Amino acid sequence: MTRGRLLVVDDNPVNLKLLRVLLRAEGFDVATADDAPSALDALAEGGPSYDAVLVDIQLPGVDGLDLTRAVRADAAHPDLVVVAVTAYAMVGDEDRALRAGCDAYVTKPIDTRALPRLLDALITSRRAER
Amino acid sequence: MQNTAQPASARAATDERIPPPAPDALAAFAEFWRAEGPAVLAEVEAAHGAELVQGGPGSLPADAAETDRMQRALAGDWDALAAALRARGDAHARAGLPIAALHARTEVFERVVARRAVDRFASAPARLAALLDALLWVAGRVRGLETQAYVDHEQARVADEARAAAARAAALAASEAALADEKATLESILESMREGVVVATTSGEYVRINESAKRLTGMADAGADTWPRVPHVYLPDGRTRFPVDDLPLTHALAGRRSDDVEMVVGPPSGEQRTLSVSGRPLRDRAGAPWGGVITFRDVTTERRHAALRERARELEQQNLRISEANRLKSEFLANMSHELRTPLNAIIGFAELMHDERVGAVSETHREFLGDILTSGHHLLQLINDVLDLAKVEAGRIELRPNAASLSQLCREVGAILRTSAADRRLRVAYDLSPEVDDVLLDAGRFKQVLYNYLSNALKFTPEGGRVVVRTRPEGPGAFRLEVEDTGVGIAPEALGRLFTEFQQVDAGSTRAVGGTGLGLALTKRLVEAQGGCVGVHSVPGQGSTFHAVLPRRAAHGYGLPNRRRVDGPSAAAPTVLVIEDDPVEQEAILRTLVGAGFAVETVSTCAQALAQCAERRYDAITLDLLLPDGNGLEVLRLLGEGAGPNHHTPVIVLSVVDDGAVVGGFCVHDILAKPLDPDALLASLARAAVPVPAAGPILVIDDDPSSLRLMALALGQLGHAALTATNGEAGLALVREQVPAAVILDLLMPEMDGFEFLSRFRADVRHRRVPVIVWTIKDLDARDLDRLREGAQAVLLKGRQLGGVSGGLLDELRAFLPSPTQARTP
Repeated sequence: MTRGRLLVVDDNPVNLKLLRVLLRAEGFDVATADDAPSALDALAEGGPSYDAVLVDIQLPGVDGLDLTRAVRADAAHPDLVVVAVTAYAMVGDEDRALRAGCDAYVTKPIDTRALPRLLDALITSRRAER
Repeated sequence: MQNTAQPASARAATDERIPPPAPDALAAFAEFWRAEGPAVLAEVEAAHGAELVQGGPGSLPADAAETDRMQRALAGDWDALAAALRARGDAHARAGLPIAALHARTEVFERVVARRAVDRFASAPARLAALLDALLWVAGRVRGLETQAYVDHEQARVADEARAAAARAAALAASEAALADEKATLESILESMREGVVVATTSGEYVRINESAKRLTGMADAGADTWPRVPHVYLPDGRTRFPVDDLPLTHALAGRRSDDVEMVVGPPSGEQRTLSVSGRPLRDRAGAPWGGVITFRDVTTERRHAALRERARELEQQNLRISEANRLKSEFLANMSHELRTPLNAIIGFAELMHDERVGAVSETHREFLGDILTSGHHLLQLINDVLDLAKVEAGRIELRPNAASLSQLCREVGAILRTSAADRRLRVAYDLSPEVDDVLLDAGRFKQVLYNYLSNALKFTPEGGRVVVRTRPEGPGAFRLEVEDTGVGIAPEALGRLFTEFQQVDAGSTRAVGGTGLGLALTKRLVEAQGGCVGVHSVPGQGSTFHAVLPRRAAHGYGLPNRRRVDGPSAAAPTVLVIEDDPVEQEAILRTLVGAGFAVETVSTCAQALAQCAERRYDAITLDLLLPDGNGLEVLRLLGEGAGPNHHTPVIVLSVVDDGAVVGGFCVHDILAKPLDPDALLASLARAAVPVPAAGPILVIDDDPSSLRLMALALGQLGHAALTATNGEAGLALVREQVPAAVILDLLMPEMDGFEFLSRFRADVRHRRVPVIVWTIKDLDARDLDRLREGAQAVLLKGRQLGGVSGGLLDELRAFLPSPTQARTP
């Protein structure tokens, strides 16, 4: 039984790999995308099977916040959990992420021990709402 | 009868010693005169002329009119005779001739008449005798009348002269008195004036040195010195001798004027004064130069103030440049930190995965090395975080989120984080927490950061088996004190000063020994100061150190540097007021008043900040406290008034404890309001200044029950508020994105998005931080609910209670919590 199906979006290949390795090791089913358009493609393909998306805010082209808004505007996956992952830590970044529709905000470097638990909590509560 | 009746004038002039002749004698004389008169007169003139030529006493020659009068007189017309004689006497007196000259002429006349009478009447002795009688009398009369006229004239002349002399004397006396008065007045002016006056003659003699001149230059009394001995006169640099040829007195003595020449007097080693000197040549009435005068005033203070102002301006400029450079540096550091975090993410992340054996087993050695990588990675991360935090503080971008918190709980939380490292080193951590200051309003995260830095330092520098105490105490009525005391190595006194500066550790070697970024204390200091507090340390080498931080118990809602904040208005169009005020309580009061009325507000607490802000942008109005920590508010007024900066025309409202227009005399201010501030007076004053008072937005009501919505809209309408309605949180958020509401009335139990969630999302937007939210609910609130609402909501109204009637309690409750409606504020 998988802990949840995740889409990880990050343009930095090493960080993408870290999240993939970490979250797979933790028992999640992980797909990856390295920019916003391919993330949207993956979501369109996978449909409601995704439980959560981890979005790097600083993506080239369409950034993570725009991606989040696009995801939120799409009625196809209303229950998707969106977690912002960012190296940004300036005033207002968190506000901006939450206002764009993210459910949580995680700063890099990520806490490899806490992140799986956070995802569990978010996915579980979203499933309960359903 | 002319011959017999003697006219009064003739009688008065008659020689009384000579008896009047018989009438026949006079008739005989008249007859003789008719025959001989012209010849007699001609002979008299001739003889008289001869005497004048010989240099005798002389007399005036008779003119034709006199000759005619004499002719008629001697023929018996005595009045004519008297007139003629008086005229003659008068003429002599007027001509300044002696009276003897008159008499001599009369003698000549007598002689000529007598000789001619003898010649003619030698044959008739009786007639001759009568004739001579008459002659004697006539001559006597002539002499008498002439003398009388002469004397009369002389007397009149003397009297005139005496009168004239008296008048002259009086006039002289008067003008002398006036002169003396004028002299005394001039004297008083000269001696009392603050300006120095020195008068010298062209020969170099000082004739006047007034008191001020002596005081300002140290010159002695006039006469003690001679020009141009000038011991200590320098150019404005205070060192170079003033060339004597260029001195204003030199010019004045040479006939040239000079104006406002600046010079310094006094020895360069001693007290010097700057004088502004003007000189004028002095000339007499004929225009000939005889000397020169210089006047001078002391401009030392003026020049010193001007120099200080100039210096202050330079420093201000320098400050602006420095803070701009600092801002750029901070921005760079912030960006840099972000970039550094990205690779660190992978380093720490992979190391953690392998170290925890979550991706397969590792050998013991590998595990140890992975632990080293992790430790170093975390150390590097801490360094980056500290740099980033410092950069944020310096850029004024640190955001403080004060919340109600329990100080003891925060202290124990930090203690828990460090429990392991304390245990590893067998250190005991004791808590001495004052219950008096347990309830605080502060940014919990930032406070924990401060305590963490102090406590981890104490643990690092205390030898094994030592003791660390975390202590809280009240500090005055409005602050508390946090102390961390250790039994560590202590700090040498000379090192204490640089302890709180960046990258300074007491012993560079110890950094490596115990780990640490060298930024912790610097950051602690900045964080505490950003919250309006201060830090310090007391240490005895070998015995231990006590670090402390004093923080206000009610931290102001900070948005950057201490006392320099910006609160946005409800819309971008809201007028912005700059509040220049250093007293945090007053500042908060003004800010609340203005923000409550819908203004955007920026606050500063020093003149320097005020001027820097005013140079940046235009404000719609400025409130100015006159007493500021770095100067007088009048300076701000002056600089605003003189420049053509963006705030040249901005209305300034002076807030002063001294409610007296005189304090701002000469400056253009819109209004002066007394402190403590009356909020209505401030708003009224802004309205008078024609600063547009923003219209309050409508009140947003969120409730899923249609009848509740209608009820509330009705109630709000009665209070003069417009209402916007939404049936769940999501819809409410959509509405507030369009327009910032004046207030929100919020139901808690709603489908889709409930009131709690709405509240936390709503508050996440900085524009909504100050919008009052009134919870209006039917829900039975438990302690946990109240806890969740405490920060976000201003009031809770229970639905059941007020549903009875709109006009009842609900209206009163609303009135108490809502901002006053728009129309009440429109002037």
